Amino acid sequence: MRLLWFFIALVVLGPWLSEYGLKLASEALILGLYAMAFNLLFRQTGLLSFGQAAFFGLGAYTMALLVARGGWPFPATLPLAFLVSALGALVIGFLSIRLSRIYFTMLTLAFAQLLYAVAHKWYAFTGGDNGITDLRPPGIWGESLFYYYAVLFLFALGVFFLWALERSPFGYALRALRDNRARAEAVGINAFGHLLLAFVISGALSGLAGALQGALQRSVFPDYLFWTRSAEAILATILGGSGVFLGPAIGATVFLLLRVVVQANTEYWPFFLGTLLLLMVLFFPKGLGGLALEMARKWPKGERRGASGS
Amino acid sequence: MDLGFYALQLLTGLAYASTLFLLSVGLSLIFGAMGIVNFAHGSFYMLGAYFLYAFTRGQADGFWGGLLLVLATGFVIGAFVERIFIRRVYARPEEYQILLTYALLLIIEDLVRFFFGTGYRAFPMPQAFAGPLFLFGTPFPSYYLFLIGLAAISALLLGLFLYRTRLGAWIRAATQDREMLEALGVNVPLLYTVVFGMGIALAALGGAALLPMQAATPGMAVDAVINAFIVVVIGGLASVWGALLGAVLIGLVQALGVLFLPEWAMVFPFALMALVLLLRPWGLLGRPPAVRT
Amino acid sequence: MALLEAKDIYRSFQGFLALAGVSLSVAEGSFHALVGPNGAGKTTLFNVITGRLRPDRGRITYEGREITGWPTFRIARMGLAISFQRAQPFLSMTVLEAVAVARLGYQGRTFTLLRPLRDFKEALAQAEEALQKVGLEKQTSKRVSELPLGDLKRLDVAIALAGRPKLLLLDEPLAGLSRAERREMVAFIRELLRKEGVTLLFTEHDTEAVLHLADRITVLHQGRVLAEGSPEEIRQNAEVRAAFLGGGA
Repeated sequence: MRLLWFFIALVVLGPWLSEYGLKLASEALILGLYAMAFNLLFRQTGLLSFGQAAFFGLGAYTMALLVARGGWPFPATLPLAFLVSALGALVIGFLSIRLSRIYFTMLTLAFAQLLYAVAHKWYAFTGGDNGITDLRPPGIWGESLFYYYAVLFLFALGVFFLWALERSPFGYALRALRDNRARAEAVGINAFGHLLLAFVISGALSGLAGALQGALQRSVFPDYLFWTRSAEAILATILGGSGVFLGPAIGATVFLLLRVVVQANTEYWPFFLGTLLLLMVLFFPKGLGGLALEMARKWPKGERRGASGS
Repeated sequence: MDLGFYALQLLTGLAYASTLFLLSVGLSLIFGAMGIVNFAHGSFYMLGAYFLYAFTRGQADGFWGGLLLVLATGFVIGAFVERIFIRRVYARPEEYQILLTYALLLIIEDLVRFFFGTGYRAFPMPQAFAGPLFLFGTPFPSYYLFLIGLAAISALLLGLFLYRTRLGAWIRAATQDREMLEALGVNVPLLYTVVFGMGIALAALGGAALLPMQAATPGMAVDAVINAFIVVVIGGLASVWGALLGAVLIGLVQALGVLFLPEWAMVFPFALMALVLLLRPWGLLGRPPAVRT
Repeated sequence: MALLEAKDIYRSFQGFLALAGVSLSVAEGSFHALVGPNGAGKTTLFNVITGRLRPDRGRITYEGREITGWPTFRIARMGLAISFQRAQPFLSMTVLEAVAVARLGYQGRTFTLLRPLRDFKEALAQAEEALQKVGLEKQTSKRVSELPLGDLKRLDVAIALAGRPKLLLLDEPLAGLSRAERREMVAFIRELLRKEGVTLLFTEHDTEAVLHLADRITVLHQGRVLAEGSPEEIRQNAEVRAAFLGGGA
């Protein structure tokens, strides 16, 4: 139920934000969706994917190519971006999930970099380094407030879907596989099939996020597929806490704010990112969300520090 | 097409494979003996190149000394990193170990950008290799032979070390059963430091050795670790011969790819890896995993 | 009628021959024990039968149907319930959830994405029933990670029974229990399975427990079947005595 209040708050917030604020908030929601898709894998199945950018980028490029080359209306490209990313996840997942978790991680990175290289070189199709620009969605979709609500709606849809997934037999099967894979298989759970489906869902949602980001930024470049884009989902998740349902979304917001501040002052954002990740891994693996939960437990009544949502 | 042309491509592939071997064998050993996926492995490869540049101030006559210095520095830095960072996450789930080395990757990449800038750092060919050699009438850089020789000698020395020394035997045992090693009273933490240091030193050497042929850039770290991983997947884990075989296969596939389908040459290593994964997932020279009970 | 049959199973690991032509026949309704000293190949054979390992040679049939080389999850859906050595099932769930998801797993219904688990009344009812049979009906909302070892093992049996199996396969079900707990567990298993009409195949190296629990015993030694027969026959078998006295059990 707290989830509902959270969304209502976001809806009410809309008209109060400036143009810049709306763009930032939209980006936070998109990154939040992207990170939550990553966390579906990380939290529920234990799979650590370093290649989510592959699907983020696939979704973005699908949207961009359809709009720029095909003349499609922007909203119609979204289901297709979703599908293309799902397909990509099916292929990559099929090859990657068969092995132990560590191999999986490296493989997802490798495939994502491959896609990046292809996008970079295939000038005729993707425009290479120049990317695909001038992607302003026409009409009402081009307006920041409307776009914000559209993104919020899709974010809510995604979050609700993930929430329902967690409570479904499928979600439990994933947890069973994560807790004790052999035992889960012994009760008839097809490990490969379940993990693959989770990977496809994760990829599809990431693709949707990528398409939304592309329209927000009015352009799509190969760096949508670059490994640092995968790192963003991971960092947002670790920052917010993987164990808390909305943790990745919270982490995404904090991450974005940090980036705005840091990039305004220095060009060494990856260094800052790496140090932050290092500190989180070493000292705060539960993330901000996890910390907030722990503190909320220690304060039985009265003040709750900060709005941690969920 | 004449024989010389093909021979040149083959040689290029082997030279490339040599640096790949130096890069990958460390990753393989570290993963095999310690169970750590060192995401930052390519970063140390990159550091090797940059350090050679820095130590020699870009002057070719410092090459040999620079190489040795890079090897030693690599070992020290590797040991340092292991002690300070890697050690803290042994008890954690492997995902967090990976995230840690990933963080190091990010940090090192920007450190390099900070100290050396984002441009290329090129290094002139050392005097000894200035002139070309000839094979079937086609000239090729004599440096290729140096690279191939370096890799061969390293493989030999590494093999001797692993199979003829006590420390090597312990390292090999660690790739099979770490707990037993502890029970036998071996100082496992120290062993880990040594293994990590060695792996990093080799990677750094590989990067440094590559420098006269290919300029260093901050972006080479990620490509390097991915290539290293492809080699390890193909060749099999914790196997020096596997790393050698994998590196040679990738080098040749890359070289042949450039010959026949230059636009798509970069896809071939991935395709080969996918093939190995489908048919023999534990690598060509790896051990199939035993069932865990 | 043989419910489960393994014929001429060979399996080696990098030159070491773990199973050298082992055959096993489990009659319906029987309690069949697979015993032998450590390293004899019991666990290997168990893993081959349950689909975790492929045999190099040999066949396995269940109810006359060939299941050689089938993956574990397929075998489980055929009415074979499997439980492994270290009972650590699904620590993050509650007791009821663990059994319910097992029930759905056996039925192949775990690909449902949007309906919550608590909507599956039938599965939950079955889960409660299974928990009642093992005596854990009061613990349904307890987290699995909080259960003591004895209860964990009972939960494991409940999970195995959730699929209404015809054949139950247990790998060292008495491992880690004290002498008194073992007697309890033996009585419990025996009574429960007789009531449910479930055939049992289990591995064990506690010979005493086996002699009291099993109808039929297959003794493995160094990858081969040393002897097979009723507890009386095995007790009197000279080779078995020699192997056990010599190698220790």
